[in-house]
Amino acid sequence: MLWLMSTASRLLPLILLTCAVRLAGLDSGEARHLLGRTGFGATSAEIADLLALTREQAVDAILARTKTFNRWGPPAWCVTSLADNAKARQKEYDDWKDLPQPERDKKQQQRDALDRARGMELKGWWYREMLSTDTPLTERMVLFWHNHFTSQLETVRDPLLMFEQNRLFRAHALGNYAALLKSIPLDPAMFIYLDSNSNIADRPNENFAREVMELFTVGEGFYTEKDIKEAARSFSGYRFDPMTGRPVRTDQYHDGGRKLVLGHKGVFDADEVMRILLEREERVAIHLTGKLWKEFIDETIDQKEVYRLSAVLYKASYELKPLVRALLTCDAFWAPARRGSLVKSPVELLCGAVRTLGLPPEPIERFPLWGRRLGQDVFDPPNVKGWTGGAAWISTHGLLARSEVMGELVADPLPPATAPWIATARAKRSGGIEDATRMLLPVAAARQMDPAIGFDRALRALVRDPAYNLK
Amino acid sequence: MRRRTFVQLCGYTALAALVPSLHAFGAEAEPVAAPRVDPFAWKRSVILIELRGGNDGMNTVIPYADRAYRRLRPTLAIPADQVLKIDARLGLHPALKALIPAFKDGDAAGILGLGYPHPNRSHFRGIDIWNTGSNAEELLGDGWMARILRTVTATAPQDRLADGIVLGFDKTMAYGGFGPLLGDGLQTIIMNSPQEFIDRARTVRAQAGSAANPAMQRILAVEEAIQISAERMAKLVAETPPLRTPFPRSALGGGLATVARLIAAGAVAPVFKLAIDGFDTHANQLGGHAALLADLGDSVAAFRSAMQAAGTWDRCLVATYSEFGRRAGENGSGGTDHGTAAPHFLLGGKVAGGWHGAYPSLAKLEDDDLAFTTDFRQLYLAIARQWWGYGGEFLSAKGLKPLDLIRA
Repeated sequence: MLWLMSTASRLLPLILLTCAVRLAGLDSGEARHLLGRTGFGATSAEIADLLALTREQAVDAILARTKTFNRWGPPAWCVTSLADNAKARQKEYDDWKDLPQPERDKKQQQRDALDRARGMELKGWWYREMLSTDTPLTERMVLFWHNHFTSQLETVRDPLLMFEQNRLFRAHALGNYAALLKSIPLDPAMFIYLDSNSNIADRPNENFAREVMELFTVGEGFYTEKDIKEAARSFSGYRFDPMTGRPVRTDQYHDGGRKLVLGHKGVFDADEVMRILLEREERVAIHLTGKLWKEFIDETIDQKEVYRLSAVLYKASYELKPLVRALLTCDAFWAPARRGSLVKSPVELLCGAVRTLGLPPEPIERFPLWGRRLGQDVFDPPNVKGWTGGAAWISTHGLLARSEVMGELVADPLPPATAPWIATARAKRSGGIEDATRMLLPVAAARQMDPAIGFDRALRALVRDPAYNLK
Repeated sequence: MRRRTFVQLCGYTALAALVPSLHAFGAEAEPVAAPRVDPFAWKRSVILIELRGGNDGMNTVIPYADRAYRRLRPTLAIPADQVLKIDARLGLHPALKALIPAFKDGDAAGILGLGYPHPNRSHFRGIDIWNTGSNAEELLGDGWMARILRTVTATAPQDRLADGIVLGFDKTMAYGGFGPLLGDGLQTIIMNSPQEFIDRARTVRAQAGSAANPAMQRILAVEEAIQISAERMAKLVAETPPLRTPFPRSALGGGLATVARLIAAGAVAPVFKLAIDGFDTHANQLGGHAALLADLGDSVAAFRSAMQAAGTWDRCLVATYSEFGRRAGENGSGGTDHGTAAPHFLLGGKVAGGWHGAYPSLAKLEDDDLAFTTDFRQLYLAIARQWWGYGGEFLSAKGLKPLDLIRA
């Protein structure tokens, strides 16, 4: 009896510790949920890393890993300065302008063809980054900002400018929204995309100002046409500086008068008008928090929660990590009903499958083409509002294309070297397909499967099951 | 723990207290448009043909009697004796001879001088403006037809095949082809042929099962809609023998043959969209442009014959459009550069034939370009109001009046 008691007392701390870990540590389903919502699928190594951690610890670990720079060197032609690029393009223009038209046309066509080829190369480079990054959340945020501050390569034309914009998004991926927002009026790709070069004092172009109000700051319904006109005056007169290749404010074309934007008066330029909106309009924080809520938690916004969380962003002076941490640790994120309640974007679908299954990323050129077929052509969103995302991915064409592309990506039989968990599951006499189902689907499969079809074919069926579209 | 200056300037909670209206959570909710109850003519179809690249309107509807035409086009002007004269001023390019019977019978219209203020000469922005029906300085997300169809889709008849069908499925640019149909919440099919769509639909055959959540419900519902469309498509094709009318063996001809077969079979789909590429004629355009126009004219004329034979021409409205017209004067390469206003064609059993609007003056060019005389959205309004009987607002531009293009 005494022995029993003493044994029990000796074991008690161990038992308690085990219970505590079990209570606090993530189970594999929870780890997959967190990884799938913050990255591209979930590899077995990524899951293993999170298993011993609490929700807060796991979120902190993911946030701590984020980076501000790319892993892979960009295409060689990206290794130049904006200034040199601008000079080279100006020189081309000067060299060609006196040529007879047929020759000039030919030169221009060659230049366009080169830019198009480089554009495809750039798209492949970003896919490589997303497919092999050790911080998937960073790339997810780059994609988020690309869809927030949209620019289209086919309009901007110069692929170097799109690369620079992509780098800007990565530098601020989980940095400070105020700093990112203030960089946007001077971003060369955005400057071209929203016609800022033609916004001059006596003939304003309101394109950029409209998007600032509607998409980047307070959001639809919280400004008037008059506010847009006044804001456009603040953004007027910025011109490309041929020496730096970047827009600068010019006194000649800038409207230096007083402006009245959303009730705030002042002699604003681009930087000042952004500053006043960030400081004085809580809608800026609410609007962005709502968008991040949709990105990470649910398509339906919980107004009260978003309002509460927006204060986290504002009080942190627009630092993004505290907000993202709050979003990823809030009860709504972990509620059982959120398992598999969001629709993966095409990029998530493709990159997630490659990462989770350990498929070869080659040839990389296939990925941007697949993405385009699925409706998400990176660097070329359909319009200024970007991809609608979420349930809108599920259309007649979208579903057919998803099934077909996943069939092309996941071959039967699989290539020899895939993720180690696949070999383990395949080798099992029974239960291997169940393991793969747990690994790949956040909710039960929608189609019944006959286990007799064999492991590789079952895997191919799983990535084409309706449930694989969910995260 | 010092906050940054700008938070000190105006703390978050202090700001909220100062501006109580910001607390109105309800303001965040998206406004819900009241469902429209207009009767919508579901059985009337618009067959859109996009002339990709910017069609040269001046060599399509030719102001042959104007001396300025020959002056502006020293090598590209079509000789007056070759122009298919419709009246004393205007005629068609000779390659469009197949359209002459439709003009004679009064079921073909030419709408002249279509354009908009502050024209954009970029292909992408230009077609974006035409696809969305926006102003030049405005970026709209959705296509103008998607905006209309979304508000009436609840009133669709049971046997609707789709809201819109895009002919020409190109794996490299699947979404680029939606044009005015781009937008969420529509049943839109993109395909090369009915059989191809039926075969593809087999790969998503859904099994009845319970949905774990609303996202899964949506997937299963769309899968079911794909099956229903595919079954209807199969039935329509099975019940209708191939049409006897010969079509040109071009992509456009083949696409229009498919549309004709579906409409003859009674398919309900308010929009069919097709495209013909190659109109960006910067250099040596004479031969190439003539070939494109011949394909357009011959294909549309075959479509008209097929529909007349099937007794369904009154259900059809064929409309061409393009991102811009071309410069009035030719360039140094035997071609024309990006321009502005252009004429477009409208054909159908109910079309009020002849010219509508005014041909832009060749004497009063704006920066060497034709000045538009008719806003392109007046054409859109005519399609919405007179063809579909749709009374809702779908344009941001106010005060435009529909052209009178459809006979009652």
